Amino acid sequence: MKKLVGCDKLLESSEKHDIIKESLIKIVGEQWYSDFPEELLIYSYDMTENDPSLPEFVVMPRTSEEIQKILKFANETKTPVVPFISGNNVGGLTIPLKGGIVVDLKRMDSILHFNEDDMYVIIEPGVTFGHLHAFLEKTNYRYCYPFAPPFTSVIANALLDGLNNLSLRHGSMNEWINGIEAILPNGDLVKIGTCCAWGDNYDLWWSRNPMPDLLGLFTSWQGMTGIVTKMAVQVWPRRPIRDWRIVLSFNVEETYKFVKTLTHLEILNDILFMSIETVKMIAGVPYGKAKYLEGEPRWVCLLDFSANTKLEYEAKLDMINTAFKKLKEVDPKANMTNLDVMEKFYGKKVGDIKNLPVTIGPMLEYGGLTWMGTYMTTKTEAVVNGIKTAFDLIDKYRFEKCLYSRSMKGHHYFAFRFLLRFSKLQEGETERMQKLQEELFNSLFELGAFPYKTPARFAKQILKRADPNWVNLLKTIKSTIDPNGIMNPGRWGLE
Amino acid sequence: MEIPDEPDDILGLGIYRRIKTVTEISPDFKKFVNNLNENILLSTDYYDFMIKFKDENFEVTREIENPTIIIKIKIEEFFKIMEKRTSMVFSFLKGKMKFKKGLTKLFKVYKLFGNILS
Repeated sequence: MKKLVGCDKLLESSEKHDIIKESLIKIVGEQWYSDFPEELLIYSYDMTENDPSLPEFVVMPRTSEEIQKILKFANETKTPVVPFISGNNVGGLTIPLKGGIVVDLKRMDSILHFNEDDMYVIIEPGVTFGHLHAFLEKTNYRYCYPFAPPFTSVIANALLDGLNNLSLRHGSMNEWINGIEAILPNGDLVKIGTCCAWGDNYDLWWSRNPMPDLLGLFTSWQGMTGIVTKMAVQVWPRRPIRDWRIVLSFNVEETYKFVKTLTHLEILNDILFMSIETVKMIAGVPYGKAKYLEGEPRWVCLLDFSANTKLEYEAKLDMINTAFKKLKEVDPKANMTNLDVMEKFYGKKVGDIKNLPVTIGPMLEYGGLTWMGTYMTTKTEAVVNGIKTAFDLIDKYRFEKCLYSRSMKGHHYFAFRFLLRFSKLQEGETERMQKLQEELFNSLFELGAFPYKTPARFAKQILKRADPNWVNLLKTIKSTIDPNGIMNPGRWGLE
Repeated sequence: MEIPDEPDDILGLGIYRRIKTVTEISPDFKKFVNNLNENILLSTDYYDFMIKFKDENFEVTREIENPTIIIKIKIEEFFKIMEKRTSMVFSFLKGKMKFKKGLTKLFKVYKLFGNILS
């Protein structure tokens, strides 16, 4: 393992350290402050291949007012601040590249309000998918859940343009945000959306239209512009009937056309397009053994759909069957079955796809998990080329070819990504993964795939290739909102 | 019964786990399997693989050797049986599930797959 960035800093400037320590304790209380090395270590790394880096302080505030005080103080002392919740972003996004204060928001875990008429909930950053799921189960409404553990933060995923099992219908999660409360680096509290007019009335956080949409100052900025302390997220009516189909197929182009056909019918909640390796990984095949073997179906699609009545359900199933028959005409060995059959064969791990959010043990138990996650065009040629290019590279670096992709927002764009397990305990494997990621980024970017939850090193490369006026605008916004560059510094290289 | 390593192929893995699960929940089935000294070759439209039962152990493998029973079936038919859109008997009578060897062991096969696919 490489030397931790920040070790030297801990030994230096102990006077400044003591001043900051005293001030932070005054704000959050001694119980919610730490500079113990063993606790700092926890915040220095995540499961990805990104290099670790130590913070100098960790605080766990409970209120927006405390965060205002922390940011005001950090701004005055030009101390870096990194917002943190569970650290499960798979992009190294909360690794404190320049040390400073990690603001762990886990304690802010209240579901503040549920507006059934306008269908939204107002939550704090520590509210997890597990919390929200449990809360909504008592209602007739549903949120959406990613292929991620239940302890991941809803707000973090929404701010980072995450996606989940209703993204085919509604797009990336930032599109479902009605409004936010955020603390700017100077400590100012701002409200965005209709709550700018009626912020104290939680019943009036119903939209972020029609007004200049300032939400973009916070989404996918990876905590570089402030800390979001409240968010109103949309929920939808839960339909009484829900079902799944699994399609096994062999021909990549025909399978992708099948995906496209189904998305245009607008009858599904979600459609996943995966490689057989991904299914093996989910089923619990050990790391290194999730490989495609000759004769196996190469591709697996998961179709998730729901209905209000039996008649609607049957009509949808009929349309799915018709689309599948067309696939079978050109891919004769393709088969479709229901998820219960797969669960019967492969066990609960596969059946758990029905019960998101869920911890997928086989993905996490080898110490390393990363991805190349991108949004890209839906053009068949681009997707097929992207798969071929990525598979060749993954083969070259001897990892598993776990494609896990999804149509977004009615197939307006495509979430094209690869889940990559690796072992941090194996000598040289982290470095090998870094090299693979570098090549994957370069190749896929050339094909029109833009990484989301972008790791810092790729973000810097994007800045070199992007339109200079766009880059200048980003820099202007960043320096205007955060003139001292305290918020998650080093993240996109905008300082 | 000794539990062997899981197979890496997708069909073998499913069959292996299903046999394991059913033997765990059904003492009768476990007893039946323990006494089943057969090498069953499943010839599918995806690929062929074997379930070997010997000395109270079982193994699922793509290494084909000395089958005592050979069954030919398409995966589509397999799913139909699992989904109860058809039955094993009906598949057999319609020629969708064929015995290439070991027809006399029909009862054993029926009991084995009846439990696995139910």
